[in-house]
This record gives sequence, structure tokens and C-alpha cells, in this order.
Amino acid sequence: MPPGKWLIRGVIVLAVVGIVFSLANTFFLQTFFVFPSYTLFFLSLFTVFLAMLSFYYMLEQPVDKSPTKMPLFWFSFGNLFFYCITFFMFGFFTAFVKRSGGLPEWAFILIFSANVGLYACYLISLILNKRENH
Amino acid sequence: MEPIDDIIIPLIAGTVLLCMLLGFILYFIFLHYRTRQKFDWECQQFKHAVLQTEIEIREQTLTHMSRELHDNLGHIASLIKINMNLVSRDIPETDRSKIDESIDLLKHLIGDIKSLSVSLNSDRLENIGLVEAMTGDVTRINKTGYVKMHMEVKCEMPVMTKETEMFLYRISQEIINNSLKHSGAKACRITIDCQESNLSLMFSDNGTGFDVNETTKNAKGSGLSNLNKRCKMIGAELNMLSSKNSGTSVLITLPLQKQVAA
Repeated sequence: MPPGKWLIRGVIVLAVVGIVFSLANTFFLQTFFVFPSYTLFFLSLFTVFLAMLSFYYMLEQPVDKSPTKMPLFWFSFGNLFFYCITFFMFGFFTAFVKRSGGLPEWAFILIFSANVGLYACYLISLILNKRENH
Repeated sequence: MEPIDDIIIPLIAGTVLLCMLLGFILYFIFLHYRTRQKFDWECQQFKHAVLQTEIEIREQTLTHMSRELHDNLGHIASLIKINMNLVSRDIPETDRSKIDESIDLLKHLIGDIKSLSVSLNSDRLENIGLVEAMTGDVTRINKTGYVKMHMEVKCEMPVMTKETEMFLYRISQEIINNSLKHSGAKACRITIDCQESNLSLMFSDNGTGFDVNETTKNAKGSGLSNLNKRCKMIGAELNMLSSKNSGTSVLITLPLQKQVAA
């Protein structure tokens, strides 16, 4: 069963809500000179939701192909991996700040690795997509 | 929250989080594998159903054609023969030769129509059985004088479902037709044998032969692919041995216990 119209509409509505929320946050809550953690948190949750939705879609629309050869799998996996580490950092951020006034060195390495992992997954996804189209 | 003295807690929490992600991905791959298996099975069932419907429609069409041939064309040809017999009485004996020749040709035509009608009708196959039906076809082909066909049954025919008999009959007709159409063979041989729990039908001819791999690859062999599909539907195996200028042999092996109800 392809994702129903209600689901697509739901995603669009959520995206619009996200944009409105981000603007409202910028103007009324966390202004231009404050780190927009609320917006980022909302967008991260939205991305994780979309990644989970993609996994659900892959299960509902089976093709005779291993998931590791599907661009959507790597795209969603990259997002989940990245936000897994991002939420982990969010969770410990206050504790780190309280302890030493900032993030420890290994945290930056972890964030850097998460970014490298994310873009590597995007690259694999793009390559696979190009192969699929050819 | 108390200050964290070392990185043990983040390390444990991070490891747990990544393990959960890994577990989720592995579980997803497992679920995907199962879904794919189910999907493959459904695809096979769908193809099976489509093929079965195709065959049912074909059988219905053939039966309809058979009835039309027998009841309509055969009837008209018989009426023409009666009329010609009547006409020939009023013609002087010296001029009768052409009419008599035409009457002979008509007799031939009526005979051919009848045998063709019989070979197309699957209802008749149910009554007389596979061997009788195949023997009828062999006799009909031998009558044409185009090719010499020999059929040998080495064992007593085992009991099979009507569907399996019908499938085997249509498969054998397809093989014989292919041989007549493409091989240019002058002699064909059909051998039916029972070995242990298998029934084997061997078709061989002395025709030009062909490269089986090449024909299958070039997608010209839709007939071959159909034969394979039909064999699979009744749980039989088809083996074809042929090369250019050395004739063709086709062996169909049907495990009798594993008969798939088509």
C-alpha cells in the first residue's frame, strides 16, 4: 500500500507547522542571537519521523532487492545515525557545560564523525540512485 | 544534575543508543527479508494463476474451435459431398473423373477435419486418455506422409489427474508442432517410460537442431519458456538437448508422487 494521501498531507502540514514554528521561535522566543535549540529539536524529530516513515514505506512496498542496495535505505539510515548522535549530545549538553563550561574534545570528534557518517550515507544513496536510473 | 567526573556515563549511554540503532537496522533488514520472501511467493502465485487462466482460456478456445470444425465445417463438407454424389449421377461416365476426384478430396478433407477436431478437443482426452490421444495424433501426422513418426509406450501408464494428462498432451503437441515447423525432420520418435517413481516422455527427431542457449538468450524461445512454465506447473522437469545439425531431444520427467494439481 503506498503512503495514503492522508499521510502525505500530514507530512506537508507538519512541514508547514515546522516553518511557522521556526519563524515564531526566531521572532518571539529564541531571537537572532540565541542558538535555535527549539527549532532544531523540532526539525530533528521531524527528520527522524520521516526516516522511520521511509523504513515503513520500504516494508510496505517490497521490491526484489536487498535493502542495502536501495538509496532510500542509506538516506534514512544516515539520518537516523546522525540524529542518534545529535540527541545524545543534546542530552548531555547541560551536564558538559556545567562540568567544564563547554563540550569536551571527544564530543567534537563525535559530532565530526556523525557528520562524516551522514554525508557518506548521502553519497552512497546518490550513487545507488544514479545506478538505478541508468 | 551532578557534574560528571569522567566520560563513563556518556560512553555507556552512547553505546546503548548506537546498539539500539544497530538492533533496529538489523531487525529492519530481517523484516525486509521476510517481506521480500512473502512478496516473491505472492508474485509466483500470481504468475501461476495468470498462466492457469491463460491455459484455461486456451483450452476453452480450442474446444470451441473443435466443435465448430466438427459441427459446422465438417457438416458443410459432408453436405457438399452428398451434393456432388447426386450431381455425379446425372453426368455421363466419361466426364465423371473430375467429380470423383473432388469427392475423394472431400473425403480426405472431412477425415482431416474430424481428426483435427478430435486433437483440439480436451473433453475427448478425458475419455480416451493420454496415450490414445497421442497415438491419434501420431497416426494423423503419419497419414500426411510428411514425416515418419513412431511412438513407443514401454510401461503401463500410471494414474494421473485429468489436468496433468491435459498438460502433458498439450506439451507433447507443442513439441511435435515445433519439430514439424522448424526442424525439417524426416523421422520423429516418442518414448514413454516409467522409471522408479518418475514418468518420462522422450521426444527425439533427426532434424536440423538448434543452439538451445542461444535461442533462449535471444528471447526467440518464448515457446521454450512456455513449455518450461507448463512443466513447472505440473511439477515436471524439462530437459532439452540439441545442437546444430544433430537433431533435438526433449525429455520430460514427471515425479508421480509430486503431481501438482494444476
